[in-house]
Amino acid sequence: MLIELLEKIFPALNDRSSRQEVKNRLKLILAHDRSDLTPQMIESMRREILEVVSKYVDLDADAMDFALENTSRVTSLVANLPILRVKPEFYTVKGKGMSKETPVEDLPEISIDESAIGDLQGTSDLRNENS
Amino acid sequence: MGRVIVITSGKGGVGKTTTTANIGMALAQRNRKVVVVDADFGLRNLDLLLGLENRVVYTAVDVLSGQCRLEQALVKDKRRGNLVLLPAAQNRTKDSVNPAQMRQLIAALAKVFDYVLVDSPAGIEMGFQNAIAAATEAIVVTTPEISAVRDADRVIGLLEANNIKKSGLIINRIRPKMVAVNDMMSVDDVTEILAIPLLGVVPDDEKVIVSTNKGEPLVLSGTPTQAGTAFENIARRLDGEKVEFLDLMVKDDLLSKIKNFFTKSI
Repeated sequence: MLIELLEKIFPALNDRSSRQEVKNRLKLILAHDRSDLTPQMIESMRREILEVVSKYVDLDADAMDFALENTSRVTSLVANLPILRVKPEFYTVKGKGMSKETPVEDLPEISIDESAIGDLQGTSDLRNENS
Repeated sequence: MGRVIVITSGKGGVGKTTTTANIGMALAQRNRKVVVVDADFGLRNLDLLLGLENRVVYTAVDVLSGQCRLEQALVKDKRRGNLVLLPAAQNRTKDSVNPAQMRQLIAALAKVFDYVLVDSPAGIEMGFQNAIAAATEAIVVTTPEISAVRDADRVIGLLEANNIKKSGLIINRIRPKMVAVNDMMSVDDVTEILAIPLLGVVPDDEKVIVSTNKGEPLVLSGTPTQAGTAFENIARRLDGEKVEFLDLMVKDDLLSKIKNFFTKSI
């Protein structure tokens, strides 16, 4: 009641002003004008993108969002595809026994010269000794 | 080489020809050599707005068909000798010229003049294609109305597709009082939607009609007018000067101050 009265006295308060209305109508019609994509194209694009992504991850089909947006003369495809889980065959952390290990006896022996311990930083000294 | 600028809008009646005549004259007043080209074949009007209609003998089509030389078709403005008009044919249609011919014609003009302003016809068909064929820059004219803005948006897309990368926007016929009571889109609303750099804002001004009646561009009139000053500023900006935009908003009175207070507090 009070709000209505205020809106009548101060049109600036009214979000339904003809200025706001024309802006909303324009934004909607321009988003459509600016993209030359037909609804059919968008639908088949959506299907193909989902196919590819679904090869790697399970998606939450109910929470998916797929739409064209238009800001500053650039039309972009905005897709929100919530991932439920990665498909098991693509797990990056493998379980035990999955990677091959070289047996210890096949590895080259590692020797140590006790007297040289402490010379670690002296790379230049080492070079002098060798020459 | 002069700059070749097309003045276009998509929608008709938003003020392309008035803009061309005034910017052309204002640039000439800045001692630039200017040619204004009427590309509206079949519906020419630029000669009327410049008051040069009685001196048109040959047209662009006569030049292209070899019936006269280019300099014979050019009409020199008596008030400003460095402003010249290339009239369009009135008895032909827009299909009587093709983009290649326009490029040829305008290339010849650009050798001599600092500015070649091409007044495009409304629409996006052949006449528009001809008008933009040789242009490297564009001025898009619109008014703060839904149909004009929609058409301007379409034209901006087509200019980009035709490799015209440098475009400036003129918002014509703005009514500050209507904007203040939220009954008209503001300059910011329109520039936000169209997203190209703003070149100028021209207020709705009855003097424009008077100047059209007389065939005398506003920028020539001795007494300054709001719209005339706006066009002069546009010409200066085009010419590389930095000019502040006119403050067109109505001064804050007590009522609008109260209004603003309420708007902010809610």
